[in-house]
Amino acid sequence: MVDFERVISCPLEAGRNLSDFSCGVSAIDDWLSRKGHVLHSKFRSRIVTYRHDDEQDVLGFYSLKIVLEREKEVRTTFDARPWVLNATFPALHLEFVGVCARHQGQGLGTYMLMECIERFCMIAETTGVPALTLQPLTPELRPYYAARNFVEYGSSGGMLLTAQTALALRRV
Amino acid sequence: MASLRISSIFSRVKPPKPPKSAVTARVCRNLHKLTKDHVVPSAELKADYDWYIAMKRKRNAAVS
Repeated sequence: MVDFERVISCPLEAGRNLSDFSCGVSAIDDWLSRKGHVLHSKFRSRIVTYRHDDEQDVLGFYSLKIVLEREKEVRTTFDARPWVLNATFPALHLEFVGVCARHQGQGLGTYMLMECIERFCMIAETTGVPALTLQPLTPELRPYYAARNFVEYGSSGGMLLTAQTALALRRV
Repeated sequence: MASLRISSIFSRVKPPKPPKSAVTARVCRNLHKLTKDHVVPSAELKADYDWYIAMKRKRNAAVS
């Protein structure tokens, strides 16, 4: 069981064993075990892991990175003009979220998504990054994100949460 | 007289408007839509966020 009073999050530590982590989706597990440490150390993705404070097993993780989105992809849903540079604008991209198979269905995924949004708020507030983007792994996940103010954009099936919405969340 | 005629011609010329492309107009409409539809967090997002904050407070209380 996930005990949220004991859950801690920290950036991926060098040497942390990730080969035992399995969320049941091979694409995510392979990516984490093969590329996680390299991408994290090169700052091409930043990975945050979750574990109980007195255990070493990774309960879950997410990875974030800054991407450049094409402005024309978002015109129908989002006003990116203030940030557009060479037809692109910066966005915080939630690359992967994974919960260990043994701890799924206990709220950890939601907890991590909310922490992502919290971090996005801080980044948006201090740097002006206007959107948090993600690519749902399966079509079944779209309603989940849509119910949480993520709107579809562009032709790639991505969804985004605007900084305005995320910051409004902290005010209400 | 001549100067009067010239000024009356100029008075009929409207000052040029700043260029506003179709794209800009569409983005303005979208901004309005965005403000109207998406800025208010949904009940689901709010509930999840409140739950997350409560869990975090419990965690901090347990640590201290």
